[in-house]
Amino acid sequence: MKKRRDLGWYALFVLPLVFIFTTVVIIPFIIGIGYSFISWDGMPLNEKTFVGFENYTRLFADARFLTSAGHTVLFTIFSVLLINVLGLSFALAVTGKLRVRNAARTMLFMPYLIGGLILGYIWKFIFTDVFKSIGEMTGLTKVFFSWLLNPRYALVAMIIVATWQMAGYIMIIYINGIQAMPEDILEASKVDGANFWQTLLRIKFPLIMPSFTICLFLTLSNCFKIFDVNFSLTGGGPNNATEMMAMNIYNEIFSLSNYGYGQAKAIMFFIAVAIITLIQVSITKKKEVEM
Amino acid sequence: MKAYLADLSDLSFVGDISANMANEIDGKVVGIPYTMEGFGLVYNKSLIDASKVNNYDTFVQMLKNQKAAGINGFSLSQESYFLIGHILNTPFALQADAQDYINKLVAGEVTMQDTPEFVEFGKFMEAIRENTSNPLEVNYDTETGDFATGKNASIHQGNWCYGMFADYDVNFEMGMMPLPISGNDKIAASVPTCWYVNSQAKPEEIQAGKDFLNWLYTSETGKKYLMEEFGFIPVLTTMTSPKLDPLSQAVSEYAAAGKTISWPMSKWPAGIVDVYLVPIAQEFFTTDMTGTEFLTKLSDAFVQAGK
Repeated sequence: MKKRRDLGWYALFVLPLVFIFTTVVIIPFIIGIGYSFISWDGMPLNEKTFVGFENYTRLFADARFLTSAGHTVLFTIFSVLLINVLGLSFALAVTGKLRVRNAARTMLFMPYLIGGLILGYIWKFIFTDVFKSIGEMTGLTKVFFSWLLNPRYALVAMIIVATWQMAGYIMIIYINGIQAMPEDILEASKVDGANFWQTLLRIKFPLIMPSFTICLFLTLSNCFKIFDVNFSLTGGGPNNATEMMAMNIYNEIFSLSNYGYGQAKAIMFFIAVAIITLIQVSITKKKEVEM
Repeated sequence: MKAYLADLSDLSFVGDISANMANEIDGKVVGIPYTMEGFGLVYNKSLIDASKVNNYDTFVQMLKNQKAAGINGFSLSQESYFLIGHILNTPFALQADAQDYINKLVAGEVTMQDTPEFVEFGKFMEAIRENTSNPLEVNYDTETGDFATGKNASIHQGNWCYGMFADYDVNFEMGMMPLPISGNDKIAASVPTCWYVNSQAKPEEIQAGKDFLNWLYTSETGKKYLMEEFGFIPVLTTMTSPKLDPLSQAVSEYAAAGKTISWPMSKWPAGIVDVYLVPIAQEFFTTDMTGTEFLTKLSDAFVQAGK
């Protein structure tokens, strides 16, 4: 009797999610795999031609797609590093003895509450108009110029904005990990005479390994899939220097109306992101310690 | 698209639509024109004498004179069509048969760098890069705002931008003149969009759509809205507009004098402006590539996008 009631509760919470997940993720995903084998412009009445694996073979010769993959990898490496280093440092700072820690937490988390599109537009103004004015006023035109007009600096700008947005969110997860650390172990290490770095590297890091797993997974997949900031901050420019994979796929499908080919790109993209994040999760999972 | 467009030939006012304005497919009218729009050089009459800007040399001279006076002579802006789409339309429209030229360009049979009007366009772009502020740092708001406050002597825009000046006390007269590529003396004017009825809808919905269009174009209320509230340039011979803004006035005068060129840009491969042309224009405005290199890349983009 008790078991059946549990099952009822279980269903109440899980079934709506399963329903939504199935209708907006699983089913479109399966249909999408089907689309990736046809050539079609997206108009229901227009002809769909079956082309087999041609869409897939084609994308390995698509220089622009491969370049955008390169940008994405570069962007992801730097962003993931920066977001996690900053997120963890913030977390350590605001769990310490800092007097303004509550205010700091709120402020650091705030950027995450602003949507990526709006963030992009705000920073676009900063990187172009504000930077230019600062350069003119101070004469430091080597540093303060319109960053978004320079291919390399535009990518740096993307990394800065993505970091600024995500670091606060990642900080929250690290804070949880840090606060869940058993006080007695920390105290024991103190009694044994461990200094700050020893405590951090030998005691704290292994204990918050589950947070690392989650944070790395979130940042990796989010950075690979970045679209909104890309769209509003640089639009892929200048001269495609910041066109990420998601934007390349978006352009292929919604600007050039190549639904089949764009879908094939999306499937490959999914496979790549899935493989990379799965490897990451399996590696960091192994390093987690049991208490 | 064709499969979706209902035949609108039987609407009562179709016979009154001005020549070449309706969208016709296979002899059937499927699109009712919305309004007419035209673009060219929107200029400040107190700063520029239009009669003295009519070819490459005089255009460059104008840019230099303005620059010497501390004014930006000409401005594009960073948004796709305002950066490259509209201005690239002109050399296409100057071809004897623009559609044929696009077909050949996409097939790789002709190239821009070997076509005189495009070569001249390349020179114009070099002069613009050299003598005016970088369009990539300018958005539509700045472009029109700087024009309204007299910091830009001319901008490459259409009559639609007049609405932007409502927020400013514009204390000069403005007009529109042709972009004088290869001595061009015509404004690019056409129908930006049409009303269509979905042939896949239910019969009564199709009928309701047609009834709406009939009402909009023949009833007093409908016409009053099109002409007075929206400020549209008339597309039906039976309509007259009592109060056009100065730019729309200029467009309709050029149209009445037969001095217009078309919009071949609507026949370009789908999506080409945002995905292919803008990156090339961005490269052009951030490096010192030559006009010829610029044209070569643009030609390649048409071949790529047309695949």
